[in-house]
Amino acid sequence: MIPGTNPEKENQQTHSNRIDSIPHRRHHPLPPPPLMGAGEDRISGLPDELLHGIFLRLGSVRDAVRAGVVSRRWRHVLGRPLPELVFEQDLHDHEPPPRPPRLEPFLDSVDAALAACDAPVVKRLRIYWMWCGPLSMAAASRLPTGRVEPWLRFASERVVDFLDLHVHPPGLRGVNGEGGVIDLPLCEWVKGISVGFGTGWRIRPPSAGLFQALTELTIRDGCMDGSELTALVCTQCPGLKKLHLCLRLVDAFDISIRSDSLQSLWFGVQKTRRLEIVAPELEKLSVILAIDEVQITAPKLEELVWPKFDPSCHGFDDVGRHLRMLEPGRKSGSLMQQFDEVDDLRLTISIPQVCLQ
Amino acid sequence: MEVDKGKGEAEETRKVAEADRDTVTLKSSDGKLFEVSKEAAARLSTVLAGMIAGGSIDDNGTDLKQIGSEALENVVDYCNKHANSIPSAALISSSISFNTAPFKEPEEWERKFVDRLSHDALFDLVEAANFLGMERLLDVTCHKISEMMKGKSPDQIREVFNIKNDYTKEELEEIRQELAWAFYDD
Repeated sequence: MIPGTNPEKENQQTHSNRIDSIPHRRHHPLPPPPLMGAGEDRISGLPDELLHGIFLRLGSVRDAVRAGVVSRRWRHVLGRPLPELVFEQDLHDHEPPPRPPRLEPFLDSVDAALAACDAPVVKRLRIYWMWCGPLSMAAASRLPTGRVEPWLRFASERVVDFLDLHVHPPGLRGVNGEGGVIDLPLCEWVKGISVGFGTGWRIRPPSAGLFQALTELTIRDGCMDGSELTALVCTQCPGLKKLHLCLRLVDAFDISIRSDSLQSLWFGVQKTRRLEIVAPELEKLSVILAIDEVQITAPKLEELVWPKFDPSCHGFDDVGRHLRMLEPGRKSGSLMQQFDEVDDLRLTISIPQVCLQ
Repeated sequence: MEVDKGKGEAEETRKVAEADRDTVTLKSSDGKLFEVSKEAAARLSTVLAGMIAGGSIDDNGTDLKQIGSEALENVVDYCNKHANSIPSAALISSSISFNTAPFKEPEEWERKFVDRLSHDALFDLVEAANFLGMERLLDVTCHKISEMMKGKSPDQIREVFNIKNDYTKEELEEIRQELAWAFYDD
């Protein structure tokens, strides 16, 4: 017999507190496992507060939302409408404050609010702190990765619609090597994700699993591994419609964007060697930076912004001849030759000052 | 070392011990008596702590009319097991309220304690823990109930807990459209 599983010993221990004069009452000899109720709805007899506590303990957006569908009362207990948590401090447009703005109190208030949050499911979480002042004032606002990890955990367990995390301490802007590694958790049921923590931060997607519900993804001001970025877009986000990438690769790499669902792409990824886009549903495309080699297959393309187009190394495999909108750059006028018809042409014209005199 | 005591002295010691008993006696709704460690009862139940502090504990059995003997037996078992186990720091500090994360995971023995309960016994115990203000036992039992829901579709949850689906067809269709994925089985 396995030690510790002797039922008799267990029984003796259980009954040792019984007062001797009380007639011995047996436990269930072998109690049925509590998988099924005998027929009575016991859980609905619990007060709302306990039911709410049970939902919270699920620790999973998916399970909490499914529980909320069970009955009218459960839906009510889960909370309707679902709460949205928004923490914002935008010091961007203000005059530089006399003292360096301190990030710490903002982070403390966010953490306190998240710790006190008793909603099992949150519709949206937005944490936004922005200040683009002089670097000399940066010392007061460091953002350690340890402060961001609990937000991401919270998001993966509770956020159902939109996750929006942008914290840009000035010290981390444009300074390579600073920042940390952020492991993006698998948020299976989140529809939109937008993250940015300064250019020094590396964003690492989960190594496996699908962002099944994700339709919008924005990654701003971070860096990523090229193969991880390709895998995230091509295989881990099967329903992605809108993608905005403004980041830098850890090392120069070839990027491939193959997606059957993608409709809109804003591509500004530094250190991309070669870019390949195969997106049958793509309607809007912006290629922002100069890239050595680009090949595009996008038969439904309607809007194109491409300031650094270079006909010698950039090409289209399958693109229609008619566009709704085209915006070439100052030096990429040859892009117009790729199309027969454009409804809305946006040209940037540079007139040297000497001509005006 | 055994100390030789006079008969009167021994009698005196016994009386003092009785007056300062380290257990309390609780009486279930169906009149059964259970003895529980006073220290554990006061530590784990805000209601019992209040009764002990307020002197409203009856030596012949404090009436707990809302709790049946089976549930009370489980409450008492839990308290006594708790008294015997080495309390971890996590269990002592109960400043975090019931509905605020992060939750303390049940310890191994607590898991086993609720796992052996029948469906009805589990809910009787939740109600007893709620009535007695036993935060930690509520935590453990509610954790168990939440585990019974995990990974299940709404239909499966209804089946496990015998819950009636009280939505109208129209409401259900609306929810189905909003949250189609919630209806899939794993």
